[in-house]
Amino acid sequence: MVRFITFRLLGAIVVVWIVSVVTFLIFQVVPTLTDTSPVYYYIGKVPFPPDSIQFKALVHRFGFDLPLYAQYWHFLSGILLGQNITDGVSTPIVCPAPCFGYSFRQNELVGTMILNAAPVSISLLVGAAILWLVGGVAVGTLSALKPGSFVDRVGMTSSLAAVSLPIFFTGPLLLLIFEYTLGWLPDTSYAPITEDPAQWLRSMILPWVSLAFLFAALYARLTRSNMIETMGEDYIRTARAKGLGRRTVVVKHGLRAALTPIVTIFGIDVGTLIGSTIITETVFNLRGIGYLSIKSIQSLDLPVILGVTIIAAVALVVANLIVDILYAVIDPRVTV
Amino acid sequence: MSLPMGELEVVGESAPLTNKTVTGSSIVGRSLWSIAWRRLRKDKVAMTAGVVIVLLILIATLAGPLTALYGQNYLTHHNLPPNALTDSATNLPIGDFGGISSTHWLGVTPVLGQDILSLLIYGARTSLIISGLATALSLVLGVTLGLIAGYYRGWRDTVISRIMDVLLSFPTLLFSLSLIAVVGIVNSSPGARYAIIIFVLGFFGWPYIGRIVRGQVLSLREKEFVDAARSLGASNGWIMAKEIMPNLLGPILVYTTLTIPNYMLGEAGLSYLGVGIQPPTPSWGQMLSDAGNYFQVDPMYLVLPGLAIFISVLAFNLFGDGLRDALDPKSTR
Amino acid sequence: MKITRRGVVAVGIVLTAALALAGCTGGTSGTPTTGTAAFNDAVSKIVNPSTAQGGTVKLLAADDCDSWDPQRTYYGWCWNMQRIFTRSLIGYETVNGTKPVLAPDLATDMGTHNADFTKWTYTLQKDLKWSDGTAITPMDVKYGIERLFATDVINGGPASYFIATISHPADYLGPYTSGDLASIETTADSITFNLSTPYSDFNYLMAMAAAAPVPYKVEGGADFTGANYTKRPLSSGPFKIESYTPTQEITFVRNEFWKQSTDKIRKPLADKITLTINSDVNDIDSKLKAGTADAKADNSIGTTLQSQVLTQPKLKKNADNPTTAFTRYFSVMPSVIPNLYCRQAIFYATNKAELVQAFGGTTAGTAAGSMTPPTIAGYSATANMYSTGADNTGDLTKAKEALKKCGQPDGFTTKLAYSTPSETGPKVFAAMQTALARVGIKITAATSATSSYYSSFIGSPANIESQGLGIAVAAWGADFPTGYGFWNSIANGATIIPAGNTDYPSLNDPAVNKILDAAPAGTSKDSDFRALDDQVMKNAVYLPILFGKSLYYRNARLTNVTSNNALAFGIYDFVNVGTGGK
Repeated sequence: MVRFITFRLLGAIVVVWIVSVVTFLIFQVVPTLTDTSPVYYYIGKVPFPPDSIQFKALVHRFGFDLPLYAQYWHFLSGILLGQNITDGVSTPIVCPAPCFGYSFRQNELVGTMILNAAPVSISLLVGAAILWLVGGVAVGTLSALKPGSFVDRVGMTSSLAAVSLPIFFTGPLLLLIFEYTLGWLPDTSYAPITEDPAQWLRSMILPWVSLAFLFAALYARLTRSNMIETMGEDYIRTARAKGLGRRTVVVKHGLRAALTPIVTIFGIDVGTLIGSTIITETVFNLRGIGYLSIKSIQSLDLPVILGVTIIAAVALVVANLIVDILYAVIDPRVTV
Repeated sequence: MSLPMGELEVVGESAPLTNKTVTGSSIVGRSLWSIAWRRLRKDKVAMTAGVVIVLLILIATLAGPLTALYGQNYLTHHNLPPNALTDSATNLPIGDFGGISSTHWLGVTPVLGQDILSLLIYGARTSLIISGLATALSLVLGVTLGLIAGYYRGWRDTVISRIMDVLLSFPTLLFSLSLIAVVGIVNSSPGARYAIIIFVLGFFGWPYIGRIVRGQVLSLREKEFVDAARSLGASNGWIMAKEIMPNLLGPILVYTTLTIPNYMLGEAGLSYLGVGIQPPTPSWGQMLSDAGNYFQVDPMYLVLPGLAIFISVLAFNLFGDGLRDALDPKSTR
Repeated sequence: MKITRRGVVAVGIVLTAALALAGCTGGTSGTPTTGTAAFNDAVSKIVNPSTAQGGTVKLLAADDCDSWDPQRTYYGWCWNMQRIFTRSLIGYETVNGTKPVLAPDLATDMGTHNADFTKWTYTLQKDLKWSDGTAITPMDVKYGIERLFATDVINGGPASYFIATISHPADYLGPYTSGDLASIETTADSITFNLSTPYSDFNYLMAMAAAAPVPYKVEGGADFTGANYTKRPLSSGPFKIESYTPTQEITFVRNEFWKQSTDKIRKPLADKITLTINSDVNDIDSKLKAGTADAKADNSIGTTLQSQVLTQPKLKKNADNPTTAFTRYFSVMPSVIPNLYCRQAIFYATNKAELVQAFGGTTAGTAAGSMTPPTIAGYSATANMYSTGADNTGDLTKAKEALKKCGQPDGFTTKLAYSTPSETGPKVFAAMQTALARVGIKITAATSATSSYYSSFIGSPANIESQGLGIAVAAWGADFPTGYGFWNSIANGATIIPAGNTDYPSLNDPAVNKILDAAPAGTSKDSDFRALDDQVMKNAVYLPILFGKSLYYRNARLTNVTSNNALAFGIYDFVNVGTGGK
């Protein structure tokens, strides 16, 4: 087991490292194909010719006059060891490890920006995840009890319908109905749960529902097929033959076994969604990590893009790792 | 199963698919297909969905003649006097329900006053071309590499499997958005945009089909008929092409019908985020993105492309679902 | 308690302190005359004149300022926000209408200059204080301007005007690395600038936020100097920053060390101004409509509220649609389309009426026949060298004639560049595509992210040529409202640089350069700039589309509202806005 975990851990680190290298290279190398200095992405418009001392001073400050490997090392060592962000004038800003650098556009540590955005994304994710897990499993179980029945057909067809609805359609539609037409949710701007729980709830309901709708459908279908398979297993038949009540059999035996794969998928989904609820956050103007990342990509704010991408990769890899380890613990057949 | 594009895409249940279809694959090809067809024909929902898909493909292929017949073209703008269909100050369509009339059956867009029905018809073409080509890219990569990994095993399997692991652990959506942004700096032409969108959708999707194919091949290569062919002196290439491939067609077909709608949503999502296909090429996602600015004052503009996406994606999903059931003898229906 | 303006001056400190303690906003009998304002009233008048003090002005914006450091900000609306808390030697006394008027701000008068405009001297008023109580000295003014030369740290602002104008050693890189700049001389109460070139518009540079003083060497304290000054800039104006959370909120309260007697151009009424960043434009619209916010500080109101305002009289009376100081145009690139007549064909075939729609409709601007906008010397309502017909939809006969002269009677193919993501860009492209197709000119789209569009996409002459960008969507508003300020950066061949260029078509016409080179000597008349416009138009590289207008919404409760067209494209002059004491 130790060997297995070590092996997976190393793999995870390698994946994150690859993500960092590829993202770094894309942004540092590709622009040079058009003779564009990355300086423009750090601070936007520079009204000085590239050969002027004004321009060169900028290039030097951001270290773009260093060889590529040195620039990468600077970036990597910042994450591993921390660094001091300095403009050579002001007291350097201490940025302890893991330091993802500094946005020169927004005058803020990338880490701070991500930390500020995280509560929004986490609020969105936790609420939606609870909704979709409960809703999806319930529908899936109901469907599985009588495969082929009317309930099953309605459940499965409507879940396929839900999967086919993009959030950038359902989102504005929900806003139109509940905020602007019915007026049930007059103001959906986000407030932290610690400051104004009621407003927090108001701002989160529609995003939760839209995101959960999509995933609940998937979970319903998965639960159904797992349940049907499990209910056909010998031990379930044995349990039923023993005269156990239907509810006991379904809940205690069937559902429990059927849920094991669901839980692993759930872990990976949640990992994937940290940092990539971009569409939901855009539709509902929630300034979470997804919103931060699309804004930084649109403005080519390089340090932020790098930071967010790596965080997203770490979240995904960690989720995978946890799931793998859990699986190995549960199922002794898994070997390296 | 993880979602490659976060909220953008939803991959069909590949896991149950693998378990189920393996059983069917040892049945002789022809009888499997005819059984499946008979089962499929009985599935009214799937057949209806199939008809919708055929219609969709026809609409996309015949977009030119169809719009000519209908008499409207999205390239014509109805926003200037004397024939203005939009208000010169508010820029919104004049009339109820987004300016629906006997000449413009689904009304016109705000600002430019383009005919919405003809935009939707051409949008179908964009959506199908991109999702189709991206699916083809995923299939070519996934099937080839999955086949190699599963058939040869050994170092090839290790390398390919590791690559798949890494790709599946990529923050795909974020990375795709960055890639599209950067490619835009180097080459700003619409062709390049088309290519990069197909690439990011197709490339990050291939490990899903790759895994399925690899798993199938791993078990198929141990079957008697493969051994028989080998003992008759068949080359590896021949065995892969003639013995193994036919048995992969079922899962590949199902996977294809379930991937196309995902990539349709993917394309629409990228367009929604402003990094998709650029106008004047019509795209449903781009219409939705624009409609986001007007949804309070012109809701029809939001609803119509939204429905177009919904109906198309649902049709593919329902058909794929029915197809899987039909190909799976253990199916409970 | 009746508060008159003089009373405020006399009891300024006591009053603010009392209010802070009591936590109230102060009662008043200066009844504001709300409810009588009409559409467009704030464009050239003052809406709801009032002297009632107190209250909080609540502003919203979709994004934070590019910087709060006066030397580093370049957004018009942020210059308007700077006016709340920073002062410079010169300022704008009249900001509304189309003729902004300068007046002394920190200085006692408009300064003195030598005969050829190469030496400018200003005397500072007495009793000027920073918000920390220390005196504002000529050294602070000098230091602020020196910071502009430290381009590695102090970037983003309009530094190039100052670097091109003020004498300096070739390797001077600002006070942090190169120390003192000898060409700016100071005494105890005066400051003298020695210029490297005659510059009759120098007072306009001195009226920029970029010319604001910064506490000499100390700046905002050890943690808030250099690049970090933006986080806590000191105040020299009537308000000071109480708190600032980047990308979320900034709050201004009254600066007790500011004295009305030293400030002729600001008459602040409010106790507090808050600016909340809200990325949801629909939400901003709702709050404006509900009256829970007073105005949107950064830009036109959202699409939804725009259409509601235009169709509902009760909302419309609270809205303004000023003509603003910028021109939207296409840059038609001679490096890609070398033949003059081919370019002229594009000019004639353009459908400006539809482009106005594409840019947002009649509230977004009026079709332009020449480049010079109404706020700039040389403006002519009738000038239209390449007339596109009475209805502005294009002159196809002339376009076809031009194509024949160009030797391409059946048209040609080129690219149209615009930045993404953009609500208007795709529509502008579609409008242009349809218009040009009428004479056989085909265009394809070339897009680039907004952040690189102006710097390296159309800001790079080499990129324009290599990617074949024949036409590019652009907009230009002068950084200061003079003919020279408008034209020099976009038409003087001497300003062309390989990246970050603003003369997108690389116009380098000796006749144009000659007029511009003569302008700083101060003898140019309005007719010279009119002639300049004609000469530029003859080159057929700048295709004017529209003179921009913006649609703004003011809460009915606001008093003393007027549009600031000198700094901020007609957005309200928030420093002088009151709330009727509420």
